[in-house]
Amino acid sequence: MSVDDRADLAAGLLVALLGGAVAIYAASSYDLGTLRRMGPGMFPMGLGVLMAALGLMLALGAARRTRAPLALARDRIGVEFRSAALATAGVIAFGLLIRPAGLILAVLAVVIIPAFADRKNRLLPIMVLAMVLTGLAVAIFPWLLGLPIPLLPMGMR
Amino acid sequence: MLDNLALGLQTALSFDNLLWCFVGVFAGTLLGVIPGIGVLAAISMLLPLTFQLDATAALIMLAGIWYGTSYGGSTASILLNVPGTPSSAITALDGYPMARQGRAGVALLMTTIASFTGGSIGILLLMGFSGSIAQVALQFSSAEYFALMLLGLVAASSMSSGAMSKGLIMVCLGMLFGLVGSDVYTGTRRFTFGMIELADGIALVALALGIFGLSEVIASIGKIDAKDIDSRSIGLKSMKPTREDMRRSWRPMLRGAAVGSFFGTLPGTGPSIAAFMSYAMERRISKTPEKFGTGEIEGITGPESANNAADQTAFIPTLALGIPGSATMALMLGALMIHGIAPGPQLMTEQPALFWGLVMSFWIGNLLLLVLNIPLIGLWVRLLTVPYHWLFPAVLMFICIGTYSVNASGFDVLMVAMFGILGYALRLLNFPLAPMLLGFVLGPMMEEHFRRAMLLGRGDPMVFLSRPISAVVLLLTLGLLLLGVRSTIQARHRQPLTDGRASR
Repeated sequence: MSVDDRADLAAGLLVALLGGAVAIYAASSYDLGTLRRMGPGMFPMGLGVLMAALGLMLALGAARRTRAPLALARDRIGVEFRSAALATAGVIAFGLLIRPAGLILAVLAVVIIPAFADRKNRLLPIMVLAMVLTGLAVAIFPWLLGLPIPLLPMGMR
Repeated sequence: MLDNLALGLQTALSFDNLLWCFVGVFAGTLLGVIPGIGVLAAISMLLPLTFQLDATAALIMLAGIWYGTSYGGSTASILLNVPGTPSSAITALDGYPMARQGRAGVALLMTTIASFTGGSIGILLLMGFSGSIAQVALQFSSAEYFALMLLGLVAASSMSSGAMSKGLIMVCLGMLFGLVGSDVYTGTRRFTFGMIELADGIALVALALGIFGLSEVIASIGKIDAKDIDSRSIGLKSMKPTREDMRRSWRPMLRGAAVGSFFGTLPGTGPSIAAFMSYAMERRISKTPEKFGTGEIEGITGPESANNAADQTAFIPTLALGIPGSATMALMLGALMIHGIAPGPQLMTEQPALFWGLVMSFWIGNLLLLVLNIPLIGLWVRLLTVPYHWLFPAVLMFICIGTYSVNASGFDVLMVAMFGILGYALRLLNFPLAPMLLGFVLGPMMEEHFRRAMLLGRGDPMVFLSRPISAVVLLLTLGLLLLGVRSTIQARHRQPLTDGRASR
């Protein structure tokens, strides 16, 4: 009945599904071996079966407490979509940029994109913050610690 | 013993180790003060930095961060009523009222002294017991190791807040991520889905920074406000405790140290539970229990001594057996393994400089913290007033550069993003995250021991029950599981009391 119970039900089923998939995948793609001489597939298969069982336990426990299992709980769990999307986007941008575009652009991306997740942040202070942090990053990592991280984009090195 | 102490002192006092000890406790205090960065996030953020050091310096620094956050965490608890770390949450109960009464300085000084006392007693126990435990453990075979690791994982998932099945699910999920990569015996690539980057497995740093760093930032954006602090109440002059304060504090400190040392060694429990237990104990012993929560000094000195003692004794199973009892200790072990050092009972004899150097660095680190905390308290307090909306982009930047620096791999940074989203989703669904990291580190080790034990037992699973130590440990594990099931049934009709983000 509570949001938590419905979330548990959904999560439990998802875990059970994942566990089952892992068990089947492990059993079909890797050598199981024997109990005495186990192959690479045995332990993951056991783990998958265990996960499926635990997931079912969680889901069943929640289902016994829940009367309306099909109602969606999404609107009542406080999901911060904006924070999640922007913070993650910043990290992804860094990951994609660091090799081809260098440290400076990557840091600017990971500072500026997520900053807009918080409505208290204004454009100008963020630009100042981004420049200060870029300076700090360049000073600490390549210079002070001597890490071999390229600063500039591919063509400009 | 004396030789070892001398060797330890010599190692710990070398310039490099001293420097990294200082960096560790300084960074630990800093990150502990800032609410919204837990100890796991703090250690994961600085973990990449330690890869450039040798193993001893790396561990000294990581340990410094670990007990440094305990010192720093209490500062935020007392001044803001917002615990910097979960283990100092209890300190806010009486510490914040003291601050409101203008006695913040006294509270801060007394927690620092209590932390030092508890920490020192924990170190003594660590020095006294590790050797004999390691001696016993030298006779362990794979069956015992598997059983002990299983006990640790079950304990960690039953002690974390919320349903036990959720903790166990997280352990399994962590183990699954741990299995990704090449199989040690056959070299078969498992769960890599054709990605070459995954052949060596998922990077510990990427997983830890995703689930503890990024997901914590996502959950904290817009939730943490910087507050004004009455800076007059924390000058050096205001710190002088009265004779009465001292008289009332020394016994709680000693009791706290005892409670903390006990819960620190057990798998699954740690500083948070130790602090809570100590608080409950002081309230029970007190002649005026009704005054707790209004600024009683026993309510801060007991728990603060307990959590620091637990911080130190947590190293006993980690260093003597090579089995971490908590996610934080799993990170320490991960750092050791990245430096190519096999954890286990042979560590003390094979790497005496590392072991005793680390232990002696605990004294030095605790002393440094004493010095850092008392005069520099003004600096920490000013830090609390930096708004979080400027802080978190900086945190994200350090997460990204740190991850990249380990393998010079942009792929690892993308993994951080994936684990961040996963961690945030799991947080929303009230799954505890710490057991996942423990499973990740222990999973591959458990598989290895399981397969070896089965090989030695000629394929008969009775090998785990025919050996006395492993049978007893497995029985204990079963007992814990049954206890967990019982409390789940009992709790079914009750409302949960905690908000599901305790435990580290």
